Amino acid sequence: MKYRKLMMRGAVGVLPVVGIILGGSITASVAAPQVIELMQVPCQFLDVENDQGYLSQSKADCEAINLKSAKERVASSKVLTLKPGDYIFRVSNKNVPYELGFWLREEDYNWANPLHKLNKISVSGGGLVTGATKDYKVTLKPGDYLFSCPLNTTPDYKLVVKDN
Amino acid sequence: MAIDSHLKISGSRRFTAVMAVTAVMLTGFFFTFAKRDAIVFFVIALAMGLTLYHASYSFSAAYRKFFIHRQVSGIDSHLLLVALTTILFAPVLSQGVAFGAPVTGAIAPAGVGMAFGAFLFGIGMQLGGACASGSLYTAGSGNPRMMIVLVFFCAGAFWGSLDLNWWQSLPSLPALSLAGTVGWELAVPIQLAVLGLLYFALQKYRTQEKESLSNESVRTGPCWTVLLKGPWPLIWAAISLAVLNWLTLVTAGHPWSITWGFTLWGAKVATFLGWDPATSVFWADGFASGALHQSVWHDTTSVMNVGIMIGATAAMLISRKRSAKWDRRLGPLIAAIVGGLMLGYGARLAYGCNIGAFISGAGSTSLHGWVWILCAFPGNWVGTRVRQYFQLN
Repeated sequence: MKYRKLMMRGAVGVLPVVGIILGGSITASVAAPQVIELMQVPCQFLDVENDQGYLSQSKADCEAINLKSAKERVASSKVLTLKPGDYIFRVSNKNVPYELGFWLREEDYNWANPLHKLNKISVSGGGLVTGATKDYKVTLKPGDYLFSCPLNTTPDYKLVVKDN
Repeated sequence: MAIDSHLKISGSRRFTAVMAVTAVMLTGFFFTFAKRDAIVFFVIALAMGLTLYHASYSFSAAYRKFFIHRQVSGIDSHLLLVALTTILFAPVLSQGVAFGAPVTGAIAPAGVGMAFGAFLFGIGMQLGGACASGSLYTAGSGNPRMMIVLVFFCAGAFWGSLDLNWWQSLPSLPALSLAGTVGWELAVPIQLAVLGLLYFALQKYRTQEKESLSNESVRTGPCWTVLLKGPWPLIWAAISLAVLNWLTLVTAGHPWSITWGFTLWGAKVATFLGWDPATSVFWADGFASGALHQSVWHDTTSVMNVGIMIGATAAMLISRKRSAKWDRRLGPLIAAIVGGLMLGYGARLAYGCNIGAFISGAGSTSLHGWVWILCAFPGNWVGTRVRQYFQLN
């Protein structure tokens, strides 16, 4: 009997904790996200740098091009500046003859670090065949970000999120 | 310092054979299917498992002994481990590169959700009888209760990942580190001074009964015999774990981490049982989704977790010890289940366990590492008092 009583007390003590945890499942409603459209051509995004007229049949072609030009191109590229909030990055593959993707992440994101999977902002995905457009949803907080396409091997373009 | 019921009793041949065969099969499976660079992580983890087992290195028992008996040798070893980790991490993290690859520390935001998770984890440590590293090496050495804790740890970690988005929406500071604020040149001496102060404060509080970090009384025989067969003094374990954590940092690009692997394992089992990852913000896309669809042998943390278990199995076989027999009473069984869930859920909200959040976090001079232990400590105090209701001594 005594043991049962103790177990009951233990259960009653645990209940508020369980309640708080279950509360975690409740989610708040959010405003409609803003759409940012980005277009990819071979080895680059058009919206942040001029069309360089590159031709590419594979990722390796872009890697060779970037080895020579990525640094200068990033330095002269347009830095996207956004306000904190919810966004949809609508990314299109205009004419690249192989499947592309999109990767937006915090500037110091290290994909190998398991901790970064939990506490850093990163959105990515593939499936962008020639002529296709895909949406990538993300909530951006103030800070510095990079975006690129690892499959088209573009440079890492800068994106800044700040209040004003 | 021993983890719950980690006793030296005569082992049956059948048990030894089962553990040996399992370890050999898992190792063979690993070398067949894992990527080549994962072998490095696996070998590091084997050494971690051996270290943890031979020193019976524990966080939960150390805190419990502190609260009940005012024994501080376990916590002394934790402070030493953080100090050594800080010293070893500093040159690498200040450069941000090792062997040409990017290296990042364990730095995360400290917030309400994180603090609550650490507190919950602390309670779970006392109900489960171990933390993440403890449950791995004791389960690896054949402790059946710890296998139950481990299963529910994974379930809790997966559950936590489903709610993580909500917890992260609660008030939180940004990710801050002392090194990021004042530079590594100042951060290291400041952190070492704080650790030194904590050490001397603990000595004031400690029991007058003899106990020491070097733990000379546990040594039996020549040095090499102790090295191979144990038991190890805690100071050896602290040095070994700090060096192995540094090796993890320079080879994997991040500090030693355990609980991400449990989260992934839980999600893989849930997927197998019919759960749809597309229904979760956390698992729907990105690298979490990628990890879910790849083999666990591609995940560094999973590889290391398995390596730690096999390392502990090997250490147990070499030392010819085995874990205590299964306690089949209802109270300890319920505590294992509830404790495991709390450990998992708490670890997910708190960005890790004693290793991933406290040792690796504080070792990276991250604020969240210190907030973590400040919240886990009272959680352990509560857990120590709740244990009696579950027939845990």
